[in-house]
Amino acid sequence: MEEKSVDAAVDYISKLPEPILQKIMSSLLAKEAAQLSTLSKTCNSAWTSLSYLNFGYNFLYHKGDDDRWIESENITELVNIVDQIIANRQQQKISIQKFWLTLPSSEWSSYIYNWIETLVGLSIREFILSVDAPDTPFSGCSTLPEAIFAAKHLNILDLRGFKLQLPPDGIKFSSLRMLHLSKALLGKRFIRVLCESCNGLEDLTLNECHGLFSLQITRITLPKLRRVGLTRLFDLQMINIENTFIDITACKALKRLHLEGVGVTDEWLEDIFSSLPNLENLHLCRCNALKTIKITSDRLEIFDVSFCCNLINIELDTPNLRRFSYVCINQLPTLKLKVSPLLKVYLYLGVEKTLDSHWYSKLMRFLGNFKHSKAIQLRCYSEKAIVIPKDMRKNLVPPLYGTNCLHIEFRSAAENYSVLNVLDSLLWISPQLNTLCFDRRNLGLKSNLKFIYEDEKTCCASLPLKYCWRHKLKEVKMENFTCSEQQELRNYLLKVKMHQRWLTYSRNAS
Amino acid sequence: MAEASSSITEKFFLTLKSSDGDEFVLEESIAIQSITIKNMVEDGCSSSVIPLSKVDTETLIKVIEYMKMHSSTSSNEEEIENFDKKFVSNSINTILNILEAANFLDINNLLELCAEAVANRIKNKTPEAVRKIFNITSDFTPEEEAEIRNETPWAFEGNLDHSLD
Repeated sequence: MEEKSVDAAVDYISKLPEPILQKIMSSLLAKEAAQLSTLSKTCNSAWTSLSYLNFGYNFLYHKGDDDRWIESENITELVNIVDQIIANRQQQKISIQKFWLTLPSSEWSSYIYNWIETLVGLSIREFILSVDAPDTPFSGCSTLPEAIFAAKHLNILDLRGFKLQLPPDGIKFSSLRMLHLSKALLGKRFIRVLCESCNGLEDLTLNECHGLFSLQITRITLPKLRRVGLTRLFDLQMINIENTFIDITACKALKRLHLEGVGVTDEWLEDIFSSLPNLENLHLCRCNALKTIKITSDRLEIFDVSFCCNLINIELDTPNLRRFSYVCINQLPTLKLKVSPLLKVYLYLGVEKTLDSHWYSKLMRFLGNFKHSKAIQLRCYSEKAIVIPKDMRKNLVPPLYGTNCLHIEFRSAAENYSVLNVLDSLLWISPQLNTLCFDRRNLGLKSNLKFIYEDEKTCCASLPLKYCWRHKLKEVKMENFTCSEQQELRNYLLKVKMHQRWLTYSRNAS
Repeated sequence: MAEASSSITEKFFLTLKSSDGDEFVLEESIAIQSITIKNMVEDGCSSSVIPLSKVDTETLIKVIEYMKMHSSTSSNEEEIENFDKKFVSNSINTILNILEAANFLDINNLLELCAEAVANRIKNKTPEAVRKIFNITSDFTPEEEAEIRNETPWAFEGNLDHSLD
């Protein structure tokens, strides 16, 4: 759709006060903001004194033939432009709100050293710097210049690809709210001392860090911590090794916790809920030491579990849970749920091996837990995971029988699945399905089926359960299907109708 | 000052008057998301109608809608997120009006939301396209413009979207 231009004859942009124009520019990359400088004097002046320097991920890169980002040919020139812009802001004595840049290698460390020194002098508030090291990310990474630790105005620090060591003069991050470290090599006691020096920290994310053997956060140091993400911490992966542990039980204010590839145990997790009463959002990924998850919490709203491949059992007593997502490969745990009907369920069935009756009966029991849900999003690696073989249907009870108003959204990684097979199986699983949406990324559209049923009618009481929906079905609305699919679906549904007549007839006859 | 602090327990209402003369009654606890209004209340102007001479009716309705959503304790993060997403899909004209109102009323979250929405419509566009969409009048001589372009050649490399979409 063509964007309508603003009222003719009103130049809204140049009319805006400079701080507002700069606020708009703060969401743009430096390159985009600089382009605006040619438009009018107001725009030019807003750019030359802009305190947000978002060079972003690809300022020093260009797209190669295979669409991958590669280091620019004129990188030296571009690095010098960054250098000039910083020098220019220093001349004007402008406090810098944000600096964001990605460097392709560690050979620019002398520049980094100078930039950090200058930016700290200009009361930098948000500093995001990544260094893309080659395949061995940790051996070649350069040490973060000590000057940064004097940045007492710093709110946000986001670093990737650095060696971090305790500075002799101590850490003076008195304003730090958010710390993200990725691909970092951490010196002894670094995180501990850092946490002790920033008691306003709200968000701590450590990803792919080496050198972290234990993580301890005590109540006195981080009273405001709301969000913790610990992912791929190689030296914290193994459990049962002495001196390797995570203790965050004192972070009473913690609301969000993301753990990935961290060796926490069943007992550890149970403790977390008794000691962190405010936890609302928990994501567990590849926590392979977990076998049984038992959670009782009034506060938990979002619970995501993915690839925890040794899980056998999940018990949730969580009346306020809004979202539960489960990503599995080949096996499903048993579930015991005490949850609200408003719960939205997201399931990803990543089944790779051949499926046996064991899988399907497990799946039926798993799905049976969501009888009271209104919405289920189902993603499968292939349709096989969810299309229950016909011969098995005779021996199993439809798991979502009696569930009204259910909306199912289906998506498959393998794109050439049969809509009809999936529909047939889902209608067996949930005989009074309300809507079924096929999310088809390859076609860029969503195909919908809406089932409209007749109101309360108890006529089918004597019929076997599985025919019930057919009896009540009044109308089906189809949207966004191909011609051949429409034909196929129509035939299928007509057959169903005939079946129903036959059923009605046979019942009358008897 | 005493009045302001007692509003925690009792519900007070304020009347806001748009530049078109329309009046809107709003709970004080919602309205004071605007620092400008909050200051007026604290200065004791809350008993009478608060005139907002720089905000027209259409814009004020949107601003009130936003403040109601963002103050309500019943709306959760997801609801607010969805509301914001829909909110920024308003026409660029409306967004610019709200941006100005948010600046005048000093509602920081709304200001940031609208500034980002405007920025999103600038991203990936050529300066010429941006000039057209926002009707920006150049006050440069062609020579001055060329000079600025020459000073920042790095900003004009690569492919850009010439469309006005």
